[in-house]
Amino acid sequence: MDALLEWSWLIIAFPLLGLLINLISTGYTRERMAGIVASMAAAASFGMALMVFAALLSRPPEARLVEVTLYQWAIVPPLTAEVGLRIDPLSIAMALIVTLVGTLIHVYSIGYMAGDPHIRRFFMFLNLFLASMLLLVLADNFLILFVGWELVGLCSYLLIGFWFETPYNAWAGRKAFIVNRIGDFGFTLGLLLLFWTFGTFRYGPIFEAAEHGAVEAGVATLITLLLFAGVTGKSAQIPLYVWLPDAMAGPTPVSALIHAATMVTAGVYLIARAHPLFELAPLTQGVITLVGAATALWAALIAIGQFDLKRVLAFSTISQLGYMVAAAGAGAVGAAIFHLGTHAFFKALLFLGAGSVIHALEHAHRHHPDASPFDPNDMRRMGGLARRMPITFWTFGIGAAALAGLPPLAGFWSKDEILAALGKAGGWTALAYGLLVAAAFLTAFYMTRQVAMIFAGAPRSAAAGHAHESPAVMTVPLMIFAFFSVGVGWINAPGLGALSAWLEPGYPPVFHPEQALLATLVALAGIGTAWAIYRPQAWPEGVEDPLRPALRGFFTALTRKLYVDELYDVLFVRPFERAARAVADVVEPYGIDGAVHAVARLVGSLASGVRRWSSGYVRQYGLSVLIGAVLLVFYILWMLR
Amino acid sequence: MVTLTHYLALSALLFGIGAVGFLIRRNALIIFMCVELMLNAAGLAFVAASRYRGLLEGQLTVFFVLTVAAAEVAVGLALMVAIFRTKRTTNVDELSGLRG
Repeated sequence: MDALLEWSWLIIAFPLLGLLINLISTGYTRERMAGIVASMAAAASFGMALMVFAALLSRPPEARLVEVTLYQWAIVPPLTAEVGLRIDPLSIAMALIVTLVGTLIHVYSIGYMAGDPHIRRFFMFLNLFLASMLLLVLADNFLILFVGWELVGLCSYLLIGFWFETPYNAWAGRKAFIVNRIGDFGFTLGLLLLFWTFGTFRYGPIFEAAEHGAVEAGVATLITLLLFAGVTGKSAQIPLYVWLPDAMAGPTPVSALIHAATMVTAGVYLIARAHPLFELAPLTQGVITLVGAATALWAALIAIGQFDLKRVLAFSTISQLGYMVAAAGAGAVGAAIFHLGTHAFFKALLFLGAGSVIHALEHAHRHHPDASPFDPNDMRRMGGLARRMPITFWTFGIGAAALAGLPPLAGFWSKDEILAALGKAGGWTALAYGLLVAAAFLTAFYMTRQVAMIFAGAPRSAAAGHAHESPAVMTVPLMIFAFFSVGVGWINAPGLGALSAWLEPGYPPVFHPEQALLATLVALAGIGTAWAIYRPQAWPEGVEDPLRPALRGFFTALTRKLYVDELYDVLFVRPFERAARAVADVVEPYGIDGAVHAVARLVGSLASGVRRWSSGYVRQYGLSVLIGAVLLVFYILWMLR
Repeated sequence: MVTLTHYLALSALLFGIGAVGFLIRRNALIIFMCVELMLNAAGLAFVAASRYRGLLEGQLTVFFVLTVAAAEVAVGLALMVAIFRTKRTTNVDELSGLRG
């Protein structure tokens, strides 16, 4: 079995192979094959991850750590940059989540993207993303993690702007990229400081040194705060979450895979991976917990006022990432990874369900166009889809219930574990706990609102009235995801605790019955409130949203995402643009061009003096050489005198 | 008795003839021959000094000079032929296209 672990790099290699095959077979195979090749590559990667998991499982808990060095990248003393893999319970748990969700979404994409003229490019990017994410997860040092971190960012950019013919999509990709750069600037500084402090990038020596107290608390605080700056970008936390809602411009499978299930959880993974460092910095942990909890509540609040069904899910993702970050910040790494796993399944399910709805509406609109401007994402123009798309309705409903935290679905167990972990602590953590409970209420509220707006009542547009269920290649992954959304919570349910036993042997999951009861009551209250407002009988004809008259101006603020984009626009974007304009109008023509032109004029005037000597007559050149030689001879004689 | 001075004087004379020829003649072929004359004058001085002092380096240098001269003539003559084909002249005063 141990020989198998040496081959664990195949987990990363399979998606790369899929990318390569699709790249070199361009023009030789049918475009439809691209999706099949990519899906098989993802499935092979999942199979390999399963085998490595089994090999690791057969070992005793204390021996479940294997480091595989693959390649020496650069050796510039004191820096030794090595490409190596760290196979341990955390990395393999992440790899299993990534490859399983990834494989299912690859299959779903075959149906969703069918007929797109650039489907091959799509699947190549998807395979590249999978490989990059696995590199990030399996790396055995911070440098390679950073390489994967940037590569998934690149794939995110490429896939958000996949339909770049629409300027908004290209803009959204740029926004995501630039906002992430801001966080990554801090991340890079953190990495440099880390290397400066420890003299290595490898996890093993760093964590060992950290546990032996070889680093001052102040330095550890600074390093972890800088790393957390990267997390706020990648995992969409306050203040850098603004890119994620716009990232929904990409195709829906991309939103499900990259912007819900995997890439955005990289920040949570980083905190979990580096938790020996974060535990040295209580200040950072407090900051992370509060930022996570505040993000959870803030994003859940904005989600209530959104009409684009993918944007609701985007804010929901930000909110749920807030839960994970808060838990990871409070040191409850097991709970954070558990919620990461369950969220990956039910949020992917919700996005794919949304994709199924969008797909159906676009299809119906093509055959039954109506005069008003058509937006397949607008929930105000849906309604009554439960009867027309029963599979999508039931699976979406299961996903929504799991997200709202109804027992015994997946989200209940994981959210409950986070709340239980935070609830027992005092001080600032208690505040975070309160924020998260409030966010749980809002979560149940906005999910019920969304389900009611899409599926309940009568159709509010011609397209919604003529929608049909999506093909099996899309509904089967939905059903598989629905199965996982129901079942995956049990892997860490109290009494079983398989995930905890795997990640942190000896620490069974925390479970307080009164806490679980409170969470369930909060979720039911949210669902009940939302249903009272949004049930078809209570919703008069022609009213855009029953909540608008009740909340008035505040509802408008919610639909405008609480004006955060506008605020950033005034505070950062416009001043920056003005500065850039000043550089273009003043520094460029007078400074740079001025200097270049002055040098050119200087050379020109010097040359016009010298050009007289360049007569073109060979004899004159010869005479110059001769005179020079004679002078040289006299000079040498004078020197030797 | 022929002393080193005689050789050096001959060398200087040849070099002078070459230099003056290089400066006053217009035919490119003659100019080449003058350059060869100067090279060989220098070679003569090397060989004479080498013999006088009993050292081999001077003679060795002449080998290099000869090799370089052969290469230079090969390139130079090829250039001359090419120039004559395009310009129909070997008069260097008419070949002043590089005037600044």
